[in-house]
Parts: sequence; C-alpha cells; structure tokens
Amino acid sequence: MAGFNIIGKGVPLIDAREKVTGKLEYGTDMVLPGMLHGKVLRSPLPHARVLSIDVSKALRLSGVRAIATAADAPTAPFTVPGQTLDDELLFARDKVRFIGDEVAAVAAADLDTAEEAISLIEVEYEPLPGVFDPEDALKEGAPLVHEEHGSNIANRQKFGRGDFDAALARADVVYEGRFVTSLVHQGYLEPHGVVASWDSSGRVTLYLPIQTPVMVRMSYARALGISEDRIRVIQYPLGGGFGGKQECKIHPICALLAKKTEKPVRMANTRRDEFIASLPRLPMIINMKIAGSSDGTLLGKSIRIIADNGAYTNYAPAIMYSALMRHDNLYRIPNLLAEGLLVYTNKIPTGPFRGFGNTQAHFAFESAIDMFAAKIGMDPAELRLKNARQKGDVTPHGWKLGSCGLSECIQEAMNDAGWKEKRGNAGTGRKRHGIGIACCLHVSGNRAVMPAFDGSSSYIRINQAGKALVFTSETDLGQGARTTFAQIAAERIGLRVEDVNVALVDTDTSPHGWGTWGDRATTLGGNAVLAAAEDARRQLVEIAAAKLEANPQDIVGENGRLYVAGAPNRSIMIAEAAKAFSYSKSGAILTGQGSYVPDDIVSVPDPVNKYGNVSVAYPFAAQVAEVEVDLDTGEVNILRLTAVHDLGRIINPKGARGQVIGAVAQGIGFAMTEEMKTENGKVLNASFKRYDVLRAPDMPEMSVGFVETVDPNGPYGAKGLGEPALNPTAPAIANAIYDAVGIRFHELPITPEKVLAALRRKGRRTQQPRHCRAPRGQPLHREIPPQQHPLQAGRPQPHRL
Amino acid sequence: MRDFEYCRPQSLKEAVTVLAEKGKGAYPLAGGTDILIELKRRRLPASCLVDIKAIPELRGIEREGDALRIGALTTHSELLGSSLIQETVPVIAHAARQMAFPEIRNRGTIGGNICNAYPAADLVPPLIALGSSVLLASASGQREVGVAEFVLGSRQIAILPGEVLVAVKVPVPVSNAACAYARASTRKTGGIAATSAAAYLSADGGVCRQARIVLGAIEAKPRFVAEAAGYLEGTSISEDVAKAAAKMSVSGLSPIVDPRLSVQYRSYMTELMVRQAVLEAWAEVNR
Ligand SMILES: Cc1cc2nc3c(=O)[nH]c(=O)nc-3n(C[C@H](O)[C@H](O)[C@H](O)COP(=O)(O)OP(=O)(O)OC[C@H]3O[C@@H](n4cnc5c(N)ncnc54)[C@H](O)[C@@H]3O)c2cc1C
Repeated sequence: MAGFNIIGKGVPLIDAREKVTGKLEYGTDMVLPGMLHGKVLRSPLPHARVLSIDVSKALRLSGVRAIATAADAPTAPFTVPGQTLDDELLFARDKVRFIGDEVAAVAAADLDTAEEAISLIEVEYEPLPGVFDPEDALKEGAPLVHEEHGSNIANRQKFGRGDFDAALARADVVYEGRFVTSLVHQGYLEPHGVVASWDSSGRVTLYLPIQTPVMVRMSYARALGISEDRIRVIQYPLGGGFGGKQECKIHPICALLAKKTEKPVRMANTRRDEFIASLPRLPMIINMKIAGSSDGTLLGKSIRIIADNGAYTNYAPAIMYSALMRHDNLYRIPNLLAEGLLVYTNKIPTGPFRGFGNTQAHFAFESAIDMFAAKIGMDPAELRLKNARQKGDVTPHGWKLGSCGLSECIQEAMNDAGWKEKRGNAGTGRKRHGIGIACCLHVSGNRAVMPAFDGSSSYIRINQAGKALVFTSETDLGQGARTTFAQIAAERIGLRVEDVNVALVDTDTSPHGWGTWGDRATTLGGNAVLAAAEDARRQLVEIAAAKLEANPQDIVGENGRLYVAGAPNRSIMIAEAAKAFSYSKSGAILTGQGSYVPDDIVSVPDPVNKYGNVSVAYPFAAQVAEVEVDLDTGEVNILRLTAVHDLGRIINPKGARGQVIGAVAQGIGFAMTEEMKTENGKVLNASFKRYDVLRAPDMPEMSVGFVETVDPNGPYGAKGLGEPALNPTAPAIANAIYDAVGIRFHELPITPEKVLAALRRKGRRTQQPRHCRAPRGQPLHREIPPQQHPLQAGRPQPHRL
Repeated sequence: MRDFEYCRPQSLKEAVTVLAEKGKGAYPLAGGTDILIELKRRRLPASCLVDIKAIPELRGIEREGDALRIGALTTHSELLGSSLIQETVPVIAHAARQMAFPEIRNRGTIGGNICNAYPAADLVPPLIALGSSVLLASASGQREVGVAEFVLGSRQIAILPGEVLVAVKVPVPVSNAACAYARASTRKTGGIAATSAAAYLSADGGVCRQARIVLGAIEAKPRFVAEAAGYLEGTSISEDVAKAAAKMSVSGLSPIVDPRLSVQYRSYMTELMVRQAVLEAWAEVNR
C-alpha cells in the first residue's frame, strides 16, 4: 500500500507463535494455590416445579467443600447490560424451564469428586407440560414458561417507514415467503471456563476467556448482588468466541462457590454443557414480503418474525431488532414494515452469534429477493445492482452511508465467478450445476443504549527501550484485533510493528468499553488506538524536535526512528526519545491517551420508532456460490465460493482473508450441515460427533476479494469484517441450488435428505429415467452419458484438500 | 471419570494373567479413542485398564498362506499405508481411509474397532464380507471365531472374561473375487457412517458364483442380506441386477435411531450404498 509502512501488510498475528507451538495459556490452564473444582447440576426436565433439593448425601462425599443452590443466590432477577427483561437467576428457584437449567453447583477438591457429588444430589421435581415450538407457545392455553410474565411473548416490536400498504397496492409483483432458520451453535473450540478468587477485602477476580470484560462485570455484579467495582475481570486468550463468549452463567456461579469455600475455584463447560446450556443462535420463523414493479424497482418490504427465545432472555430483543431492519439498508426500498415477536419456549436460551440476527434475516431476505427476480424474469444480480445502496445515501431508517462499495462487490463477484456464462446452465444428468448470489450489509460499531460506551478509549505506554504497550477494552477473540491495533499504533508513531504489544483486558488497568461485538473492534477500538498513538507521537516529536533542533512539523517517524523530513541523517531512535522523557520526569513512562467519541456521527435509535444512525460505518459484501446437486442422493457439493467484501481499508490482508474464510465455513455449516436437533426440549446431538461443523477439508475452493472504499469514519478508512462475512453465505448457496434444480429451500439447514424429498416432490428425480414419468410436455432426458457442464469443460476441477 | 488401576504388561502371557486376576472390571486399553470417552462419561464399570500397547504379539501384518494376519494393535493409519493390504485386501485400506480424522486414525486400532462393536464401525462390514475371523487368547489357551459370530450387537461381543483379541485373520480373495465397501455420512470428512454396505463377489465365466452382502451402521448389528446375495449368485451383474439386489437388501430392516437422519432416508441411502458396493466389487472382479 503506497504511503503506508505497516497498514495493509500481512504481518503475522501477534500471538501466532504461541498458538502454533501450543504454548499459549488459556483460561482453564490457570492454576491457583488451593484451587477447587466446580461443577453444575442441570435440570434433566424441560419444565418442572422443583419440590425439594437434598444435598446431604453429596455433602458427605469426601472432598466436597460446598454446594450452592438458589438458597445461596440473590433473589432479584437480572439480565444483560442494556436489556430490560430481568428474567434470569443464578439457579432455578421453584421451577426449571429447560433441560440444562442450573439447579445446584458443587465445589470439590477435584473434578471427579465434583462430578460424583453432582450425581448424589437428590432433586424432587413435579413435571409440568412444556412448550417447544414458538408458534405453539403463542396459542391460547399454552403452558407459560414464566407465569409472572402473563404470556409467552417476551418482547414485541413493530415499526415502519413510508407506507407499505400503499406500496403493495401499487406493485406489479409481490413475492411472499416463509423462512425458517435453525438452532446452531457458535462451535468455538474452547468451551467456556472461569477461575474465580476472592481477596480479603471482599473483591472477586474472575479470570475469563471473554469478549466483553466490562459488560459482564455489570451483569455479574447484578447476578451476585454486589457492586461492579468489587469485580475485577482479567481476560484470558479466547479459543474462539463468535458472539458466544459475551456471557456465561458458570462465571458468577463460580464466584459464588469461591465465596462459599473461601478458595479459588475453577469451572469449565464440557462440550455437552455447551450444547445444552450455552447461548446458541436465536432461531427465527420469518415471513418476508417484497413488492415491486416489473422493471425491477423495489417499492416495499415487510417482515414478520417469530423468534424462539428459549427459556430466558439474553440479548435476543436486540438480536430480533437487528433482524427486523438491518437488511432494509442494503437496497433502495422506501416503504417498510417490521413486526417481531420474541417467544419463550422450554428450550435452551439463545444469544448472540456472529451476525446478530442479520444472518437469519439475510437468509430470508436474499432468498426472497431472488424469488422476486425470478417472478419478474430478471437476472437476480442485475436486480441487486439496480437497487443497490450507494455512498452518501441516507436510508429510511436514518442510516448514513459514508462509504458503500456494494455495487463494486457485486460486479467483482460476478466477474470472478463467471456469473454470466454459468447462470441458467444446470445441465442434464445426475449432477446439476447452479450459481447463486447474495449480498449483505452490517454495522461496524453499533450504537447501543448507553452513550458512555459508544466509542472507545485507549492508551499506549512506550518504555525506555522504545517498546510500546497498547491498552484497549476491545478484545481479541482470535480474529486478530490485537495485531490490528499494533499495526495502527506502529504506523502512526513510526515504530516497528514487532515493538508493539497489546495488553489483554484487565478491568483494573484497561480503559472501560463495551468489548468486541457488532464489528466494533477495528472501527471504534482502532480509532481510539489511533488517537492514543497520535498523542504519544506528539510527545515524542517534541523531544525529537528539541534534540534535532528542527520544527516539530518536520519530524517523520518510521521503523523505530524519528528524523527530519528530507534529512534522514538527522535522526533519533524512538527508544532514545522515550528514555529522555522518562529520565527527565523521574521515571515516568511516556503515555499517549486517546478517546474516540462518535457523538456527532451516530445517534441512539429511538426506542419505539427505532430511527437513527446506529453505526459509524457500514460494511458491505457480495458472495457467489457455485454448487452441484446430486439428483440421486440429494447431496449438494459446493464447488466454489467467491466472497468480495467492502471493508473500507485493508489493515492486514492475511487477517482479512482468514476472517472471510472462517466466516464462510460457519456460513456453509449454517446453510447445509449444522443444527441442534431437539425433541421435547432435549438436544439430541449434543456433541461434535453428531453436530456437523465444517473441517478444513470440507471447504470448497474459495476466491476472496476486497473492495477498499476508505470510510470517512474508520481508522485509516477501515470498517468491520468479521460478522458480514458470514451473512451472505447461506442465501448465496440457497440461490445457487434454486438455479440448479429450480427448488426454493425455505428452511435451514438444506440437508441431502430435504433436497431429496423436495426433488421427489417435484418429480424431477431422474435416477431411474425409465420408470420416471416425464413432466407434462417435456421429453425425458437420458442420463447416460452425463453431459459435461461448461464449467467443468472450461477449467480444471476445483482443488480439494 | 472414576478411579481405576492401570497396568502395562509386556507380553501376551502377562496380559492374560493380569486380566484373569483382575476379573470382570478389567478392560484392555488399545488406542483408547473409544474406551476413554466411555470412561469419562461413566458408562463403563472399569476398575482396571490393561494397556496392551507394549505387547509385541499383537502387532504386525503378515501373509500366512491364503490369509492375512493383522495384529490387533494395527492402527487405521497403518492399515491404509500398508502395501501388503493394498495388494491383497484393498477394501480394508479403503474402509480405514473413510474413518474419522488423521488424529483418530493414528491411534485407533483394528482390534479396538471390532471389540468396540459400535454399529457404525467401518472395518467390521468388509471384514465380515471377506469371511474374516478373530484370534483370541486367554490364560487357558487360544481360539478362533468368525467376526460375524463375534460381534453380537451394539457394544456386545462374544468375548470371554480374561480374553484378548490377538489378531484378525482375513482370507485373501482369490483372483476372480473382490470386496468393496461404501458408506454414507452427514459430512464430507470425518463423519460417523449413517449407513454402510460391503459386498464380496466371486465370478466364474462372467457369472457371479458367490456373493456376500453385509450392511453396517443401519442396524444394531452388522446384517447379512442373504436374499440379495442369493439373487446375485448365478447372474451376470448389471446395473439393473445390482439395483434389484439393493432393493431386496433393505426390506425388513429395523434401523437404529440416528438423530441426524430419518429412517426413510437412511434406508434409501443403504440401497444406494449396496448398489455402489456391488457394482464396484463386480467391476473389480472383472478387471
Ligand atoms: C472423533 C472420533 C471419530 C471416530 N470415527 C470413527 C469412524 O468414522 N468409524 C469407526 O469405525 N470408528 C470411529 N471412531 C471409534 C474408534 O476410534 C474406533 O472404533 C477405533 O478403532 C477404536 O480403537 P481403539 O484402539 O482406540 O480402541 P480402545 O478405545 O482402546 O478400545 C475400545 C474397546 O475395545 C476393547 N479392546 C481394544 N483392543 C482390544 C483387544 N485387542 N482385545 C480385547 N479388547 C480390546 C477395549 O477394552 C474397549 O472396550 C471414532 C472415534 C472418535 C473419538
């Protein structure tokens, strides 16, 4: 990248060496002297009254130090920061509401004893009828998950822009479809874990692999009934998060056990715990209506969502809000109507997952857009180009698009994938080819509800050796935020990137901020680091200018040195300047401070009407999937996936590429293989053995491209990438399947079994051409020899690992 | 995990002595890819693990006349890397390659795969189709049992207290015979089989003389489908014949539950797998 030394360079991740050599210490590697081990007893029933809990046998087991139940926990319900529906307790009191609900917890000398003790706790339940389907839960007389709430509707939202009914009346063509997304898990490799330890002053330290150290402090303080300042969170490196590491009930439960035993306690989820009692993605039933003219002008869109909250409310109201409206800002559609119901069921509670509702809604919306295109006989990519949002647009929801590379993304993805030649060329024979496109937009630094946290702050200390340590509150969850921050700081100050380290968050010493979600880290955290770097640079330049007898404006920083522009020989090492600073101030360490406060850019959306510019920047993307559908088995093979993303500015091309590939892997899982299957509230496949996340060899050939629109508000123009990369994948695949076999799949995941059933329904199965009745008016095609698809004829077979 | 004793005998004799001494709660430990999970889930009443990995008699792949002797400790990676297996019973290498991931294949053993008696065990259907047997040793001597008789059901084997599986004896198909294995899963790599089929065929003058078809994963126990095999015998196998035999194979199945897939789809896929295995074996026979 011209003009930059470090921005745009593929520097290795700051912790790559530790990770690949297995040296990195994760949270549950931690051992404190005298540490005990905790374990949770979970409800085996989806809905039941708790009549009694007898812990006497368990307490008699040697090695057991304490058992906690609802009797030990505060009675006031709590919820997460920024949300208002207080419906959680540390332990189920009176009633359990899902299989996995926390009933009791044991602390023991070792894990085996804790497990043994759990099996000795006797709980008497009175089973209650449960409700497992959100639509059933809305029916009259359905069992109530929270009686005190009066109904199973946890949250209801309704808002609109323009006049949707008028648009409907004016439209030539209307498409309406019902889409269903499934319960999927974030699938981070490292399960949740915690070590909790109290000091003699009555403060607890929680060592956590967590995305949001400051936010959890707020909710855990409420859960434990203590003030926030009595909780110190020390962040540990995360073995993946994907939105799932923003909260976990074992953390405050562990604090409770540590308090009761007056010993440090460690707890960690098993994979089974993860699958029955974490916070997987909020499943939605989405009714989507699109109205427009036959020339492809989109006039209106309505959406109705019934979201399956599960038994307790985490961030689901915000997730549903984002699903109800974010995608409205992708194309120019003036008339909008949104209605959402968040419904309790006796199932695992749900929460944030990379995409935050946008993933679910984009599946429905981008599928519906394709169907609308089919109805008017227009190329779906052309329809998208015709209606694509452009830079400078202010959308009906009040979003201000400071940069927008949507059209460029679509065009580049089409070119790269060979869209024009391949589309509508399914071929004959057992395997049919298809190509499909889908787009997305996302936020990057979402304005929440607490203005104090809408920006970010940072400080940078440069020691006497010229090594910098950056402090921020936006966390690295494996996506490379620390490396990004190091690059931004090094670029601005003129340091070598290897001389910059980025501290993990410690709420006692780091600035306070929301942490990483909503694609905040690069945009907001990056801006804060940039501001702190600017401040540090200013101080260094003052010293250098004095030493070099030059004008401060003429000082340039590069490669660990400060020199006079045009006279590189007149220079001083940054280490020397930092040392001079320290020695002149009795050992002080040169510190740059910076805050990024986006007050004049974003606004808190109106709570009812939801109007407002919620984010400093908006990333865009287009993805094209190419598939092959086996008519005999229903298997869908993804041959190639093209992903083109407008990320504003590439800070680190290696990191950016990695983000896209990882997100696409999750997107393919969401589309094709992943589903937590439940029956009467029980997760049937609670292990990676029967829950199919993609592994490296399962990935298709990938082509990743970037469009740099240089956003006016991002640091060096950068916008977020981690979440948007996942949103278009599932609809792109569904659209490609439609191109291949003419069948629209409304329900995820699109398994071979569903494909086969649909093919049969359609009567197009050609496995036995002789027995197969020809569709009316159409001749039977012969299966053998299979015709070569132009794709295969034209270029080599996609490479597979 | 409950506490258990651990010992590591250095010879077969020592191992069978320990097993006899420790009695019912003693279990051999091979690769541990299965038994350790069972222990952690507290599903196995083991009080002692007898680690058999140091026993030389349980290793090696050798040709013994018309058969192959595969030591119980042979790992899946060794199976798929062995040129002897590749030349004589390539279907075993093929089945091993379908299994799990490299990490598991490097540890999991053929002995463990059989003794585990997991319905989806990938080596078992082809071993049965080939007419293989297991060699068992105990303090009181040795015996040989057909794999078909040895595997009794899901996690049930005809092993006597104190016995160790020493080796698997696999008859090498004669020049006009071949065996093929096909399996379906929910994922491209590493998935547990949802259904599988092995077909062994021999031919004489373009006509199938002997056929054995074994289904795996779909029922609790590997299933011989005699009717379909009988149908193949005496015919010249074509696509249509294979299809008809496949159809016969799935009548009267009582599939076990697999939360991932419906019974109908698995039955249908079983049919496809039988067809594929029969056609592949037949092509191999006629090569
Ligand atoms: C992630 C994962 C994926 C897997 N995927 C597959 C798959 O795709 N297909 C498949 O077939 N299997 C699969 N397995 C199961 C398992 O890995 C294999 O069955 C393997 O062959 C077991 O061998 P082992 O040596 O590890 O057995 P162990 O775990 O050591 O033992 C298994 C059982 O056999 C007994 N045993 C072992 N050796 C002997 C012996 N010589 N004599 C008497 N008893 C003995 C043990 O006491 C124990 O009861 C998978 C396992 C995992 C963890």
